[in-house]
Amino acid sequence: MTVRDALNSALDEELARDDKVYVLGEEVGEYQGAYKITRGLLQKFGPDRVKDTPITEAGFTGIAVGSAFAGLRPVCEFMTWNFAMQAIDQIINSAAKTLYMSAGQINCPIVFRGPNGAAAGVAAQHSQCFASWYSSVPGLKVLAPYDAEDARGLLKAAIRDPDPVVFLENEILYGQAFPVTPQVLDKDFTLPIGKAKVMREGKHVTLVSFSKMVGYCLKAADTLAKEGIDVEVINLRSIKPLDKDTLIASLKKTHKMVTVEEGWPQCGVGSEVSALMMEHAFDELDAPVLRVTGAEVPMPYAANLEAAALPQIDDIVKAVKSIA
Amino acid sequence: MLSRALVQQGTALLPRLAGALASTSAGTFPGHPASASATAFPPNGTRFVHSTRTEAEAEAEAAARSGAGEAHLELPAGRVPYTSQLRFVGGPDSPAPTIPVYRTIDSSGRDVPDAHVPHPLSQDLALRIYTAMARLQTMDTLFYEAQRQGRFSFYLTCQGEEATNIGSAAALSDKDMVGDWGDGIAGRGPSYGIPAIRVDGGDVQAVYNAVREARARALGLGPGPGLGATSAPAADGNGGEGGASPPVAPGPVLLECMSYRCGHHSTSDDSTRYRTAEEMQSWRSRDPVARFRSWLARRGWWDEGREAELRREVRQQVLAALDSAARQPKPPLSDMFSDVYAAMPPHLAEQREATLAFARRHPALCPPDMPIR
Repeated sequence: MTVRDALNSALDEELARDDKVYVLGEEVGEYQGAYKITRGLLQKFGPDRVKDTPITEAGFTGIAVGSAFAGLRPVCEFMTWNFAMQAIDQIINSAAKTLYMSAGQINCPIVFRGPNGAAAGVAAQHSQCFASWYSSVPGLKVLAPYDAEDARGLLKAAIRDPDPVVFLENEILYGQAFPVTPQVLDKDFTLPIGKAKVMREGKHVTLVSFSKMVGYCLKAADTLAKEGIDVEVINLRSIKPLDKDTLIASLKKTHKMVTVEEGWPQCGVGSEVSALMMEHAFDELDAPVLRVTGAEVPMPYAANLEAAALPQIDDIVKAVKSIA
Repeated sequence: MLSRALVQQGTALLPRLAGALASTSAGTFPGHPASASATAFPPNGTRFVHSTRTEAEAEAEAAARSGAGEAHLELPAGRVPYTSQLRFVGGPDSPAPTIPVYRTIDSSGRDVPDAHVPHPLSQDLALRIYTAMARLQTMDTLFYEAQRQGRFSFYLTCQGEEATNIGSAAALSDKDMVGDWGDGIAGRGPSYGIPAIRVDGGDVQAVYNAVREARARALGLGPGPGLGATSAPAADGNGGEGGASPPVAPGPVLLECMSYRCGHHSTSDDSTRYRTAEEMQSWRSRDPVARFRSWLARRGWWDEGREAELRREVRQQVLAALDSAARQPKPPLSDMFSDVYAAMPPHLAEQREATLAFARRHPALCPPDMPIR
């Protein structure tokens, strides 16, 4: 099942299950979705449940958040997370903080979703990774699916969750197919929010990642295995809450950790993982946590520079070898 | 190679073409492919085509296309008339007409003659409105002072804006939600096709009437008396005027209440830094509460005795509220971590336990009025 179909089927099932759930965003309806994630949903559920919006993120995000305050369960799509910056006040000051500011009286059961991070050749203003920014905000949950199982389980969990969830997809992964078990296809399949998954067990070094980089880590692990380096690959799935217990358990086996992300290094997800490991498992570390990140530049447009600005499988292999 | 040959042929051909065009005989057109030589133009042997219309006919057709019969640009959203005049609209040299301000009571509290007042204020409603305005003034005075005394952390007064606040509230039900937009919204109405009105924000009767009408329009109840909830069931003096129109579809309405903020923006602001004391004083004399009091007195619904009694009463109410609030216990430290999420996640539970444990171990470091729990 492709990640696209996984997301589409999850939306379909949740729309059928709860009539308070609705989808809104640019091109989600008539156009079948800018990336076809919402294909067929308008035809199946009608314009009350699948709403095309004008091109105004601040406006439609405000409407979505307000409707969540009033009891609906919106799934608010951003064509990419870059455009959500036009609505970031609504996401943070309205959605994330209102439960706290209202002393627990006003819930905001909303899911904000869309493609995050670099695509291919979309340049500086369309390639930013927002995992780190949103994961610092109390009141938000931040999820980053990798494969089809993640996409289905985490999206369904997010829609059923009473809190605002930032759901960071990846455009490159939409077309990628992954095997899925019948359990994953069950209409009540959900994954727990706040739990990471060990994708591949190993004993020499722990690789920690999320989204597309999980795939790169798995490929790097195959390459490293040929040289006798046995790598454990952890898929965070949830950036907030971040599952430090699974990371610590892994570190207790390997004593070495490398984090991998596409985003910028300063205050990135790897920085948080480093701090947590140092604070909670200092004595387990045989080496400092090593971070592999995107280059600290706005994304170049030239294809060769774009490739140079993002972690490649080779970079991950080299990083692991440097501490293995 | 081919292109170089064409260029050579072309340049060789120019004098020949020029000669050909100077002639009036059709026979000088280069053309028949059968007679093509290395110098034929164009080189692939295509023939030039003669038009069947005369030059004059072609001219007339072009003129007709370009403007005589067309008055509008047709767009998917509608039609827009053309103009052949290059003219900028709006701006200092050709200002757009100013949207006037709706008022029903003048600055000295007299009825404006022939004002359109679809919802005249009954005595009961007028006095309830006045009481609320007086209470608001008293809250502003006492709570601003309380902030200066350290009993309040921060306060914003409504001085000068009492009629806008109370007049609007009086026309709404407590389930209504209103959006605050900002300055200059009346002018946006025409450009968006949204009905808009500008109102004298210091005239509480005008505000009340405008908001009532706006609410009815927004709900699709149509212009004219549509509610009847808040005012007394007394006969509507202007009954029937504008009341028989069919309802329009529900939709947005813009209301711009023009008023002047007499007080500072907040207790953190000293507005004498950006405006003159004279300007502030001139507006104080246009106090909306005093204006409405005049109007009430002219009707025989108010007098000095009742004024003194009301002011005493609201002052007591406001002080009692302040004292009661000050006596409320402060929230415990354990509450700091509640309601970040619907259910507390493990990482926050850990942080809360660590914080509470620290506070219990070091009570001297905690503020004295903060329970720990």
